[in-house]
Amino acid sequence: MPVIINLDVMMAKRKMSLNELSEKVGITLSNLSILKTGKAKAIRFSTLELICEVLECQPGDLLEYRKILNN
Amino acid sequence: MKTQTILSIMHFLAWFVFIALLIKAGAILTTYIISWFNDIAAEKMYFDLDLSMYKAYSSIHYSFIVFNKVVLIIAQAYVALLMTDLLKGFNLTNPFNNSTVRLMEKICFSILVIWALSILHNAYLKALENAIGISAEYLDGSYLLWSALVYVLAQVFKRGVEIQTENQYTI
Repeated sequence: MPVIINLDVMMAKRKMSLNELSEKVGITLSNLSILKTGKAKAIRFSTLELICEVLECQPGDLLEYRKILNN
Repeated sequence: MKTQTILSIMHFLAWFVFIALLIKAGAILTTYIISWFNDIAAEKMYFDLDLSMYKAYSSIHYSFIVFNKVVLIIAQAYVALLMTDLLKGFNLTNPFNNSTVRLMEKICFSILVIWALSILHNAYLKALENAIGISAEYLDGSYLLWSALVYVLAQVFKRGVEIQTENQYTI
């Protein structure tokens, strides 16, 4: 998918582990893992809001569009 | 809870139908073998099934009709077996999965084969009726409709799988 989730980058910047984020946001570890590995099909605004609040960032910091280059 | 009970009863019924059809196929085959030594056996192949007139006319036609019937019954039994598989793995909390779709598609194509066999059976009996005047009992031809119905349901389930997956991966 051309939309990439930079959750791991933001977590590293804030020096926060997945367990800690999971506790603070109230999302299960498996769901956060799905989000982190890019397997997620969609993200709710409420989830995005919670993650942004905990990581003190903007949605744009978490989501990035990268064009897929076809050879 | 009520639906789960109905599904359990249907699962049991599917097994019952499967075994009953196998017994029917076995009984017809056994009577067929006996009929080679005793002509009276062809009069009561299975309950009211009387094929003695075909046997008296031609052994080849008789054998073809018997084998067509047996193959048809085995195909029906296969559908019943697929039904048992479908009902066994049916999970009401997560009803849409790829194995259910695959099973439904298999059932659809098996019913299509049954339809083709019944058409062949009916055409053969019709030809014999025209040629030698033996009045025949034709098989029900509504299998095509059933096959189409199951196919449509399979497609609906396929879409259901996509929606369910999308829902599962929405965080």
